[in-house]
Amino acid sequence: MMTFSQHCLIGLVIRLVSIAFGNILDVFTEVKYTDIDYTVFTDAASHVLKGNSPFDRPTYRYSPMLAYILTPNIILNQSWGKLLFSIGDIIVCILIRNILRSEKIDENVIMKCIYFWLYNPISVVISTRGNADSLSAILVLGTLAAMKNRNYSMAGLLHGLAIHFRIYPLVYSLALYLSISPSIDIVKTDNLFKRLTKALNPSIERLRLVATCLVTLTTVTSTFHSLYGYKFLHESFLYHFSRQDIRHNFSIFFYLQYLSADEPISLWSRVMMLLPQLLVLLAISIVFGSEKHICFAELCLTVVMVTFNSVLTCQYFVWFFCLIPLALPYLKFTKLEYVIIGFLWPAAQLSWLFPAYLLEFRGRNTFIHIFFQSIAFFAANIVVFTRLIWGYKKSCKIE
Amino acid sequence: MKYYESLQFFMLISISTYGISNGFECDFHATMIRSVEKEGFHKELRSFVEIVTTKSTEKLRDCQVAIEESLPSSFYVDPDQLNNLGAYGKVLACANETVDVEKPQFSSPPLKVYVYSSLNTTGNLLVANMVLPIHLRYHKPRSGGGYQVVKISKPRLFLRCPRRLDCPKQGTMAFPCYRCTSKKCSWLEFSFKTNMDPLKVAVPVGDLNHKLLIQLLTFLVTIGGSIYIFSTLASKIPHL
Repeated sequence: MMTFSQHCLIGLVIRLVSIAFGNILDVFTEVKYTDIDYTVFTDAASHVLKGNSPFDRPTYRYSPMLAYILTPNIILNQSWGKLLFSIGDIIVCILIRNILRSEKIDENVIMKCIYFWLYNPISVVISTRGNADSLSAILVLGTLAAMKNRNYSMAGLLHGLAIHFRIYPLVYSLALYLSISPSIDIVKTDNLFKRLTKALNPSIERLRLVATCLVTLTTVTSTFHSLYGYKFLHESFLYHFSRQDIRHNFSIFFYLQYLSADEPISLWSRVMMLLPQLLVLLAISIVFGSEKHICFAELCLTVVMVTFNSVLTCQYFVWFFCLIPLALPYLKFTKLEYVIIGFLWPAAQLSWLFPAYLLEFRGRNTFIHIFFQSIAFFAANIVVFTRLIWGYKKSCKIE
Repeated sequence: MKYYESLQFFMLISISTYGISNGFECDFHATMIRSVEKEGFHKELRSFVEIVTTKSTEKLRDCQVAIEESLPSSFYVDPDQLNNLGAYGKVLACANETVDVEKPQFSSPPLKVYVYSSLNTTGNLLVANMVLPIHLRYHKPRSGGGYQVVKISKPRLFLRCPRRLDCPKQGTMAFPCYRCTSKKCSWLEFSFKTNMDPLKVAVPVGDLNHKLLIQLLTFLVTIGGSIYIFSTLASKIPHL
């Protein structure tokens, strides 16, 4: 029986081998193993070293911090960042263990959950190709670990950093707030309005979370704004909100956006696109926004956000990957459900790929087929998601 | 006064005819065989340049050839891709401006790209094979959808030699000496014959007639999906 640290060591070795293998591939073949974003990070780091703005590199749309911590890419070795992201994967495993331990999960079960991240080929490939996703996973899981330890200032700090780093953790905010118990108890006789005001009642702990989060976010934002000006705000924040990529992707909204591309999108359309998603996010935050269910709440919020996003590529699936191990001990599925999830989700993705391939690489007009496939994929996501909610049984004691 | 002017004119004529007769170094014919390879949105623009000289090819041996492609807004080149291929010496090309690779055709500017190559000598023939990876942008949807034909017009052909060529008749232009350098050189422009002008490419475009159907289906499915999630959540609450 191997210990946790031995597994981590093996996980790290697998990643080191992948980095070396990737570097060899890069030299000898035209197809690059290293992600194009990694080249962008490295270029931005060299701009920083010269005392310039990382945003001098076109398409650098990340936090300047990333460029700072990757400066050893230039000074020491090109693979520094990949090593850092791989170590990040190990830290993610430590955080998963901490969170599950605080929930008194059996050690053997914890190890199985950790394998899901540690030996997952997708997370290995992502880090060793040079994607910074493990760093945002650390911030997201770090926030949850701090919440579990009831260290709300730390949680606020990490949450603020997570929002600065990737923006999307913003949707966790309400659930995090609600997961700290209010100072007033809700009584059965209260009417809806009274319940609502009591549920939102700011306690000292809640204020601590909000305050540290806001202070972190504004400090970091204003510091980088004073250093790099409007370009920082535009590239690392506003761009992600205003991004309108009409090229084909998994999103159900893709074809509608493309067909509306030549005119400014109507307010009515925009509301119809955003409102259902916002209401679902709100409902999940309220239903699962409690100390007991906060990890599952974040998983659900991420899945919904990704499913309803106006742009959806494979890269977005990574966002909820790091949250799955936290829900695994509580998921109880029947064999049929395993078949549905294990078959339906990849099948819907693969059948989308066929018309998309015909369009992109064969130049055939398959827009309408891609649209129908994106509906099928959306439906598959909804089915899998509702199965997930049904399969989640935290109230029952699981050994 | 009039006499002086016409004298000047005659002098000018004689100087320029002297130049032409002396410019035998530029006495050659260029042809360019053009094609667009690969189906789909990611293509290769191939230009095979052949230069036939009446005299020896010796003087042109170390010359560099460059073409200036004027790509319409329908296309873009990916600077990162060109940079990567350039490092391997496979494609020596540069767009000397920033390129937004996500924007559709109708909100993008046209693009000038310089493609460089050295010349290979075989007998009195000098050849250069140039490949430029180009990508199609999304085009405006229209009623009926189908395919829209877009055109790539003839490029301009330039030559630059280590030793100055004596070619007074040829026009010159200044642009980067090598791939993406800031240093500019003076290039001699040459006319050439080409097989296809312009090159035509078909782009699939969305069908505006489907818009109402798409709108209806999209909102029906997303709202239906949301309601299904709400009902699942509602029935889950008692079990929490």
